[in-house]
Amino acid sequence: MKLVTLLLLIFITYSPAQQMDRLFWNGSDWRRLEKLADYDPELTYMMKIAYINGILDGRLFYYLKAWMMEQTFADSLYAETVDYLTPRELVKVLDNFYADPINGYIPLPSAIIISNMFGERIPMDTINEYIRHSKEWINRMILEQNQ
Amino acid sequence: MLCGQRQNRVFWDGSDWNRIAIQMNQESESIYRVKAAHINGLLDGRLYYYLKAWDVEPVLAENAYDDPLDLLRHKELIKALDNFYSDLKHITIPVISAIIIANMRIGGITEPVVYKYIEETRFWANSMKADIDSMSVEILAAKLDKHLSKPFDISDRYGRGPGYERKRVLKPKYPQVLDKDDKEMTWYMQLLQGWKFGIIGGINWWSASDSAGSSGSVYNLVIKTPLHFATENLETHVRLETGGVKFSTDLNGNQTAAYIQFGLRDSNIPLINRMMLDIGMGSTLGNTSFSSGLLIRLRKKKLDLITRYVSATSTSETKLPPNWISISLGFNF
Repeated sequence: MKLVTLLLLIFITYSPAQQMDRLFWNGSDWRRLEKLADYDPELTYMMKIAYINGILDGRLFYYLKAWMMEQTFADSLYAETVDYLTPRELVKVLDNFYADPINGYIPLPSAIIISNMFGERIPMDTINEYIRHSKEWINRMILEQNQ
Repeated sequence: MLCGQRQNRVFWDGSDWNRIAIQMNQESESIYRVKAAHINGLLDGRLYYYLKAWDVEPVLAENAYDDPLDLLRHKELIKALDNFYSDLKHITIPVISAIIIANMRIGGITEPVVYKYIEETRFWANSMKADIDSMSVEILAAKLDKHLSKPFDISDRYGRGPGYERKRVLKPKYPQVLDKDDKEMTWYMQLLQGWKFGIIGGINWWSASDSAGSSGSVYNLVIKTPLHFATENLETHVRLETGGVKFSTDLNGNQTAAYIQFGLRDSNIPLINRMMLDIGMGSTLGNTSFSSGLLIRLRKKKLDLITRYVSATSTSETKLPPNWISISLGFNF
């Protein structure tokens, strides 16, 4: 009976997490990297750098492609600064950003933009507005995905 | 560190990819995790801006982000990229392009088109690397446009051809809201997808009882079923053929059979990629027949040359030859 109760508890605990759809890596994935790397700081750093470089490469590749199709549109879509901070600095800022659990579900691509906004010393009101907008956007996306 | 290696390099490429193993002291688990993280980053970067673009310009977003990147699981993709970058001449190809190439191959794009894409990607990647310091975005994009305008956008007009069946998985996943009309179409669209047709005709040859060679004719309608499975290295088709067979003026009638064909893909020998083994079972003039043979696909998979060795049961009424060789030439619509 105890075993059944335990299994039931595990099921109840894990079910919502499994049902939670995730479009992008977010704060929980970012923090989980340390555990995945078995708390090896070098491997954790390498994974974070690899992910950041992936995002930046994916962004640049499709920016160039969109630019070939519609320059004005591409320039407006990719207007945010994502390369103000070096990847090393970016890792540190993201670590700090995701240390606050309230930022946990902000997607990493948005967090990279936010981190660069911090680096550029953009007024906090603007950054907070962008964070709020990012939260609303990802919530809307996940809701649409579930629908 | 990996980021330090990006000097004079626009994208991560084969040298970065291969360096991961060295940096990780060849520990396979760590290597896998770093590579998977990079792939996740690429896909997230693409999806993020696709969704942003879709909010503003859905049509443009559909066109710009139409590359197939998600036909393979991470594990398969990493293996495919490892193989790809084991060839030193691919070292300068960006990882994101290598992912597209791996997905092109698994998505049924022909090898000459893939080869052309690789060559042109290498050209623009090298070109950009050479003078990255002095280039503006305009020049970078102009170079892409100039040298990669054809297969860069892997859409129907760049190599798939009219006969290529568009994979549903290539469609954007998010946000995708089906119209009412789409929902109504779904059930029969699913049934209709993947069916193809062709015709085939040829000769049958067998040894008659007096040891002299005899020949007859065969013609069939070919129905290619949607049962088409492909992995990175293997491809399997299932098809039906129905039509007529003529052994002599008084020995002719219907022939119907189902065939399973399987062959290798991605072989270094081009001919191997065109060859498939063919095993079939059916009915010839009302008698059960079995066949095994070899199919060679020619002219961009439009033409099939098939050689089959057929065995059939025979009754006193029909008196079929027990075995015959069938050589046929077929055209796929």
